Amino acid sequence: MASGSLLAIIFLNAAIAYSAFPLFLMGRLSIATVGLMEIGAYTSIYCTTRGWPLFLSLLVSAGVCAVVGAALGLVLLRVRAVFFAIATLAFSVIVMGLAPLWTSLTGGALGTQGIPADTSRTDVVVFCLVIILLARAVSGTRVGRALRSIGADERVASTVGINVRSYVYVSFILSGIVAGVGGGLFANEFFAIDSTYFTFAMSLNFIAYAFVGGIRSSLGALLGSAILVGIPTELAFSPNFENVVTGVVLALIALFMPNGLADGRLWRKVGAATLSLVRSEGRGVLDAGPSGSADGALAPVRSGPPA
Amino acid sequence: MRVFIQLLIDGILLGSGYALFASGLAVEYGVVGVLNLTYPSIFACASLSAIYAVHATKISNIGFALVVAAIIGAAIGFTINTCCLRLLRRKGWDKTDRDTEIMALVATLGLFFVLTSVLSQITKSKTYNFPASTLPAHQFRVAGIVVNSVDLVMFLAALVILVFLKLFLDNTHVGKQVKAVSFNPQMARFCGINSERVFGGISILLGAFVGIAGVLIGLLLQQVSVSIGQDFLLKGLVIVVLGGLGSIAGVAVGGVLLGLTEVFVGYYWNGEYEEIVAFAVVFLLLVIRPNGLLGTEGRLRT
Repeated sequence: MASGSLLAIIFLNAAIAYSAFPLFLMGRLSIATVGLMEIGAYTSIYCTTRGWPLFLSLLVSAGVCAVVGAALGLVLLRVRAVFFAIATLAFSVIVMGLAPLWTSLTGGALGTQGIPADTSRTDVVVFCLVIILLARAVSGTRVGRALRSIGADERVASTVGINVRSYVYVSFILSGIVAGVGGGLFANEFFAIDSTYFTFAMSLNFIAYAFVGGIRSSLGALLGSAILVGIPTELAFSPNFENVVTGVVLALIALFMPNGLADGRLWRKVGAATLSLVRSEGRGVLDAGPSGSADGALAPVRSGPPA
Repeated sequence: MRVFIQLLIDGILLGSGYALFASGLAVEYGVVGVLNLTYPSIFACASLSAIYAVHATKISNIGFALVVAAIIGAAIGFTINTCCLRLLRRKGWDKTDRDTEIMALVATLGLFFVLTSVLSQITKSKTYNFPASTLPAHQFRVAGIVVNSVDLVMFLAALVILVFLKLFLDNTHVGKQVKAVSFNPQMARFCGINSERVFGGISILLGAFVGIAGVLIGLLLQQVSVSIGQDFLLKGLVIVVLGGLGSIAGVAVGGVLLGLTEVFVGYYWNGEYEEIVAFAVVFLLLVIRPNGLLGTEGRLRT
């Protein structure tokens, strides 16, 4: 996504990445985001190129993608971890593959032209803020806790009266709506797009944003997007740089900080470790001579005179 | 009718190559419990390295290319295992935990990204190919069916390697250790088996296999560039779903099925639909039978 300010790009990417947030909370790695986004994008363009106002076309996108999302939810209810990821990836691949072939709708390789490029920065930022606020709000409520408990142990959650099916269903529908509207906003930024705008790498990028920031955190996708979109754009060494950064950061996070950067516990541990390191260095100075550490109150009590 | 049989043979031969490629994914999942997405990038890297080696040393010999690719593949596979996967295991990662399964998947995905983009930088995204003299191109005609020498070599290599793998796992002492580790690494350790060494050994072996597949498929495709890593990542996922993870017979079946699908769809319909049809089948299969046709529940089945 190359148009608009960096902030808008980060926000839009984050918002779309958020679409799968409830699914992530439930332990389901959904890679359907790009597929839904592309459907939303083309639906929206179909409307706007026929003169419909942006808002209305986004509404249509939301509707169409909600239906698609519902269908996905219906069908993927029982599919397990890794295979769920593959199935949603399959969905996205199919959408990405069909798009260039459905020439009447998408214009094939030549793309669609005459899009009134009227997505403004404010539209995008407002949309994203709304999504993030919603995510934060939901995350803390009963619904959020229910989602997390499903993620922790689905069977136990269902015995406590949590209707897993409904949650999965609704999460998929929401996922469709958010990704669809996001896709519509994205597409309407340009005067013309074609199906190459939606790549395999993009589908993985959305996962990466959420992961880096913290899959289970309501700030996650925003953080991740800020880092993975912001850094390569600012230090544009080469077109591949973005992928290298994404890959390295993704791998590091998965290995060392599985809860992403928004992991409060981990930062506190880091903070505590740093503090103890500082203190122990102070102690080393104490052994050699008069106390060099500023806060004697925190230094351990010494039973003998300093050496 | 003859066309049908020709397509059938083509599909099986192509599929054997795919099966060899996917053996890394499938077997590693069975033994280590990770769907290790770095294998497609190892595949690309080994293939490109072999091409480079052949051009640089002017040794236009397929055996040489295979050896180079096998060594590179094994080296990268081993490195990834010892640097990354072992780290995950040290952090208390449990093979049976669904959460860490996804975590490891994402980690390997990140590594795939890194490897692929580094390769992309090095090769400047150009396409390369083996010099024609690497494998003399013959065409064998049997009862009107045409088979190229590349296809034949690929099929034979895949057959030999997969059968060897199965025999190795079933009959040798070390093979049984591998199977034990695939059931439960901790218990295997209690029985005196060094699980880490098994994991290391498997990564070397599978890396070599993937490298060999890289050379053979590179010869088949005539053109190799960094993008085959991504293409084959998708193909690999299709194969493991079709055939089931963790099963050698499954990977063979899955590979052949994909090969047949591609060949038939390409001929009777349109080459552009190959991927869509394959993934549509994958999607349907996952809905109906989530573990794949011959799948196992996260352990190795031969």
